[in-house]
Amino acid sequence: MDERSDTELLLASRAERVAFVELYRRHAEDVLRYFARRTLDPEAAAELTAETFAEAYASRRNYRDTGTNGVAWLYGIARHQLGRFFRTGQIDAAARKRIGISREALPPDDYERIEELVDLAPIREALVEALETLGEEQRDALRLHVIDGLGYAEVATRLGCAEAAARQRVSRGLRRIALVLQERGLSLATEVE
Amino acid sequence: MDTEIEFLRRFEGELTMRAQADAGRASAPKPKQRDPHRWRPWIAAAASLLALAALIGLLAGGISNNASEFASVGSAVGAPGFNDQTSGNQLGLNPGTNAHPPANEAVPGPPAADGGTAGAPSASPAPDLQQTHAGTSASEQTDLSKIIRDGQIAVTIDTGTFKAKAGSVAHIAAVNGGSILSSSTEGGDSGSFTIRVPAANFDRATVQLAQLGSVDSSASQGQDVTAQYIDLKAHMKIYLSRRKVLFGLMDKATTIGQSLTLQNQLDQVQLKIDQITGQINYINNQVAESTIKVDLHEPGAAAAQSPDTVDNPSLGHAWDRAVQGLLNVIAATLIGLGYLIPLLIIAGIVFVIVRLARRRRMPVENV
Repeated sequence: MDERSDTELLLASRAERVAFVELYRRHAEDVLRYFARRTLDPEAAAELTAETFAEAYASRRNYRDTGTNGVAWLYGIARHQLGRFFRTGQIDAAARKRIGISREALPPDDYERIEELVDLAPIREALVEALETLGEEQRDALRLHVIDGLGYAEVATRLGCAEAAARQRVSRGLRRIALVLQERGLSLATEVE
Repeated sequence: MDTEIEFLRRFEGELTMRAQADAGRASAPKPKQRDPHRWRPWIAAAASLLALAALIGLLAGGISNNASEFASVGSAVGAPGFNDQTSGNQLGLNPGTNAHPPANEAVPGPPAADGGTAGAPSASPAPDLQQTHAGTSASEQTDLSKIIRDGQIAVTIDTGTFKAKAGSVAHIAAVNGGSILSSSTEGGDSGSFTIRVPAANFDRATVQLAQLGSVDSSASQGQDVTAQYIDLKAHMKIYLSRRKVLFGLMDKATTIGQSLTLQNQLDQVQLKIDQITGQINYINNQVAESTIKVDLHEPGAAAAQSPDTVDNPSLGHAWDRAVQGLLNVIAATLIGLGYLIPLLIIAGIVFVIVRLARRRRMPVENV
């Protein structure tokens, strides 16, 4: 276990590149949770996490120790990525491309694992209201999965579609809801980064 | 990494590999940097050698030989007694005696339309003109190069004879197989003419024009376009063979794409062939016929200044001179290298022999 602080790891990563991996190990899941709570979309959250760390790795030499924890710099990049995502609806892959890491699809089992990172209870009420803005297919999938708490296999059975399709409807629906809530100024995040 | 999310684990793996690869690259020894100036001494030596060769070539007469070649061209261009930028007294026409020759003696009479004021038209050139013709025939036979010949001449004629002499100009152009390209007169006592005559008759025509009166000034230019002509011919040959190849490929084309590509290339080659043909025709035309600008004026009349007589600098000539200069320097350098290389070889052999002799002598000295 590396005993160095986040700031020290960031500074050391300029010459000792593997120090950045240690920083990733420490904060990857937190950053993923940060994105998942804001996008409500496991796929988007995972992609944004990867892009954030890729961007941080590529520009780690730009980090300057100003006395605050180094992880604040990391969340600054995350906020930038999130803002761009909400503005454009697209997830950039430029940083990953720049450092030579390919874009990968989210493994099927990760959808539920990432959702578990997000506590949806506080937003159920807001969700019901936002659900009305969705199309019928997405709304049904979301209602079954988020409000009734059914797994994707069960949702697929109820809707008469493949599990992958059910997962996609839920994912897209959540992304849409996140955007709607964002537009209304409702924040789903409870933690302060 | 302690997480159940496979995506994060996979990304960690990729990030680790990336970091390790970067670390390996950074720690790899940097390739030894070569001295960027290591070629300087060699370049300086080569430049010195070439400069020395050029100097030797110049001293050995590389330029002077070329200059004499140009001089010979110049002499071929200039008619007998018709040197560049010379006054009438230097033309060898003896203007003192020929300045005012009777119109019916030295100069063919104007056409009958002239009203007979200058004498009857002569079917054959005057005796002295025949001599001139005989004199130029030798140069015509030896002149195998492509040279565009042009000339200007300004002649003062007797008072009151402008009309007759103008007719004589037209007649001279006609008897030499040419014609008047343009003419302009001012006040009935002066005028300028541009005539085109076959190049073979250029010398004869200029002499005949000089005999119209007293020559004030004259000039002739010869532009050697032989090299350009040979180049064009060579290019033409290349493009013709290329066209033949393309035709062959067209027959074998199996797809529309191939046909279109080949057709496009054929069009370009054909365009080049047409352009070169035009240039060759232009040179042939320019070489075949010469232009003479004639200025006739009676005493006291202002010399008519035809717009064509303005002697603008010719970029074409400048380019030709530049190319000639370049070729001269290259020729001089080659000549110099011809002197230097055997000397260097001999010096090298002597050096090797001396070194071998020293090596053999060394053990003896040691003993």
